[in-house]
Amino acid sequence: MKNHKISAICLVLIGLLFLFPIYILFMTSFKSVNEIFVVSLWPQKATLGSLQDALKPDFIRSVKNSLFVSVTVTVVAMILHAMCGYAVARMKFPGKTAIFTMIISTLMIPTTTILVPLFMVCKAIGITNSYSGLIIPAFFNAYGIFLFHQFYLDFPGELEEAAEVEGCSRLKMFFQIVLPLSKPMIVPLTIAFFLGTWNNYLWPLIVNKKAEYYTVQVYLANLVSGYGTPWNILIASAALAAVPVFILFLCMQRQLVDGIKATGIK
Amino acid sequence: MSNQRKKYSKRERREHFTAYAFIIPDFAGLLVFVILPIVYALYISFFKWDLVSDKIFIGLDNYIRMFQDKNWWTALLRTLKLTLVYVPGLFCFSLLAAVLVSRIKTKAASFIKTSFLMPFAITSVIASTLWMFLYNEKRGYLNALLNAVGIPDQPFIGSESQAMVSVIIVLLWINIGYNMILFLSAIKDIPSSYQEAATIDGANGWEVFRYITFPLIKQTSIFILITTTIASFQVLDLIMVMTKGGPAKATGVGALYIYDRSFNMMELGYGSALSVFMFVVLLVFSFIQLKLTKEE
Amino acid sequence: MKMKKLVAAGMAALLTISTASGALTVRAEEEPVTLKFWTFQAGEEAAYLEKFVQEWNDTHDSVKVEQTVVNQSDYTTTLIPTAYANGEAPDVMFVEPATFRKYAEKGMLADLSPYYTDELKEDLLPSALEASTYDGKQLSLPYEMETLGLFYNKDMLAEAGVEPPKTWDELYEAAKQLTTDDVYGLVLPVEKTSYTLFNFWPFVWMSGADILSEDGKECKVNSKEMAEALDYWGRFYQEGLAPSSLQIGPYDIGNVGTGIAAMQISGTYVINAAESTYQDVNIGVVPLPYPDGKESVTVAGGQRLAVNANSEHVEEAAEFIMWLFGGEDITHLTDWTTKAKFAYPARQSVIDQNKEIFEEGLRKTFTEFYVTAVPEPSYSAEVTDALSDMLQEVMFSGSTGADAAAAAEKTINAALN
Repeated sequence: MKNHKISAICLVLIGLLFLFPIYILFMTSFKSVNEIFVVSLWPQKATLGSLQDALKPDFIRSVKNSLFVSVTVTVVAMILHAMCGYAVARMKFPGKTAIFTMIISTLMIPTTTILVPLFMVCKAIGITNSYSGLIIPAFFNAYGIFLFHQFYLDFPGELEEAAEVEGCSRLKMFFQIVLPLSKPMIVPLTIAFFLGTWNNYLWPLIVNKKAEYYTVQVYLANLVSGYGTPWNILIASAALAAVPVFILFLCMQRQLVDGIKATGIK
Repeated sequence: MSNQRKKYSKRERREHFTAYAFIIPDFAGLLVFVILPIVYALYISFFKWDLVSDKIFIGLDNYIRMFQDKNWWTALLRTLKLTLVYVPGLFCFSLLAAVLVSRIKTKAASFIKTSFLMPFAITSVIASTLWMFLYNEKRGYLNALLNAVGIPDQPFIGSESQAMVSVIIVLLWINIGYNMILFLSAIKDIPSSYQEAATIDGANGWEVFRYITFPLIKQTSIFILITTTIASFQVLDLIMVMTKGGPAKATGVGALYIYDRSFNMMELGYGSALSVFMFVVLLVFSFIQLKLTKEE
Repeated sequence: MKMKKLVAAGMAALLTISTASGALTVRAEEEPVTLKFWTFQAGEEAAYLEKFVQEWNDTHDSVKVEQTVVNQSDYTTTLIPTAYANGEAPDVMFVEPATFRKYAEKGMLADLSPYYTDELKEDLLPSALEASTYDGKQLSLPYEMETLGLFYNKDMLAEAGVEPPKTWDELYEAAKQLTTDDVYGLVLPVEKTSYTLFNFWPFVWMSGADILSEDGKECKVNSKEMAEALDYWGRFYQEGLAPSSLQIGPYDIGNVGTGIAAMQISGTYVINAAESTYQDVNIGVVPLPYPDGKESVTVAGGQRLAVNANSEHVEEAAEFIMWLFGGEDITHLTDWTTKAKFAYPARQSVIDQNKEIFEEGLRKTFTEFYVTAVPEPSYSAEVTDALSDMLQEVMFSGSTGADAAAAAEKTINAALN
């Protein structure tokens, strides 16, 4: 028990270290432009000026776009990948190994290499310069399938057998029993997909040239101009852009604690 | 071989049908938006193409050039160095943190989880700006700390010898929390009765971990090992904003070299050939990792 | 059955023809040509560009300009190449000297010679005109000239008892004296970018070094002069007088403005920021220091406008850029170079008509040494890459100038053959 206490204290201290750069982010957004590059733990003259300057209509629009895109991608991707990962892990069918190998190997090509061909595909089906172009290609990522697959490999088989005895169809069983019990994986994956989409920069930059669909990362990058970047506004905008994500974390905090047991099934 | 068709029962066939129905929506999308572009990249790796003019078929010339390109091999070697430090570092630290956190029953646990996870929300551009506050040579928080204990200013990302480590630290900072959560989810799924039984039998903390916990989270471990290895080969954003491969070429990793060749030098054909090669390397790596973990 | 099909087909054909011709006539009247124009400027500059585009659209019915704002660092590196590969490139775009040659060699830029009037050719500064020509054709429209100078914090220098340096030795001594635990003596660029090379050019020229022979077929990098320039440049980094990593861009006057450094090489483009954002800081500027017995030389960079050679509307696009910065009416260029930002106009008439503006504050110094400006040269991607590596070697790997120059010459020769 004593050991646990020591490790708890150590981890809390490391946690504080982890938070320090984020503290700098928020603290600096209260600094004025003359003060931002001075080492201090607190602004000499705290001001709301930078934050107010950051809250431009274009910024708010870009946050809304990012929210819409990220939420859509996360929800759809979750269902698609859970189904696919489940089938590969728990069902028998011809060609399984080949399909799974193919899926996993797609993770191994650098994104920059497929940028040009992916754009060609999107242009051919006419989804460039639109929400669809930002959203649809982002659904398909073998990472999610792989993670669900690993999770379902260890999934207790008794559940399925019990359901089968009761004459449940696979589809019904998946949505009524398996998916709700997948919470331990859904939670981290929600974080991964939401953030992956929220933070994605290169693809939204290339696929969309219409200001009305700019995501928040593209907006932030456009703030950095060659000759006189308004650093205080950039940092304040970055801090504001991180707020929705931190809210997501806080909402998920309880879920992060729970495992499969906590969902009520032993 | 092909005609050796197995007779499937009706039940089995129904299962096949359901399985395909589960897979097809996702797989079709992957086919169009991922696999097709990869095949195209493979195709143009046999061409000389500057993205603007017509493609010229040159057979294996890009691959031959690759084997003679000293800059490519040194870049790949730097990737390997990054992988060898980053992957074990990330794996061990996040696993250790997960195991320790799983044993903490107080409120502290949720603080630790959230604070470790927070950096995962920060994008590369901002992470780089923030860490520059820390790494700054004359006005950095880190050097202020070092000076306080009598160590002189360090250049961190401004020095050939420290730059790579400095970048790896930022990568760890961003990714440890998330991987810790993955481990934690796996650990939480181990019925607590297993561990309790072992403890009653007189096993100590390490033994419980070695013989109970670790074997039971194997699938998650394999997953993290493979995905972080892949990710370490593809680190690009952070390096682009922090160092652009410098100072000199200290952080000029393979992925940056591919990017540079493909877009700055406008040699997408050659860049694709390099990517295809890296793809093969990763495939071999992952295969080895799978084999090693299976034997155990 | 057959009859029915025939009739149906005939009807369909008729319908298509009539709607198509209808569309054609309608198009001529109502559907204007749209020109895609990608810009990356921010702040005041962006506001002025937007204003110009608005003005064009208000006065032109058959050709509309659609402006897209992206960011500068991705503009030439990723966006333009990927857009060309997909036939999505803008009709009108900016090119900088560092990428001009690369784009010209690949045939990406349309020939603008037919749209250059004699008056325009006459009016453009000869060096600017020369620099935007490739293979005897005008492939871009120069409009601004950005030159480099040595900016410094007057108070810091006064406090340390340092005079603004005039020679290389004085610059080195000054940097040494001004470097403290908290402040860098001099900010020079750090990363492997074309901007670093842009800053290095005047040092190459002042020491008398060459890159290529006149005909461009022979590499001349490996020389005593180049080694000297490299050793001088590298010393600032090796001795910690210049930073080896920067939090904000090397061009950003915030380096002197926020007190990170006492001196900084930067260009005309930061004058507005120096006089507005950092108006409380006492910032001065002098010509770039020269080696003993030589004269100060600076480099003139600056963006140019170009038209996509694959564009379906080359003529309209050329008309637009000529209207913008190449026409008889010089109001746009005057506004651009005096209000939106500060840069030297590439046209004599604009300079002549606005003499007093170029004599104000920091501009005065730049105007005095303006005649020493040499246009930023343009080399192929391979040569640029090798030269950039050469610089990184002396800056961070502790190489001697002679070794780095020899290595660069080897790489360039391999690329030339």
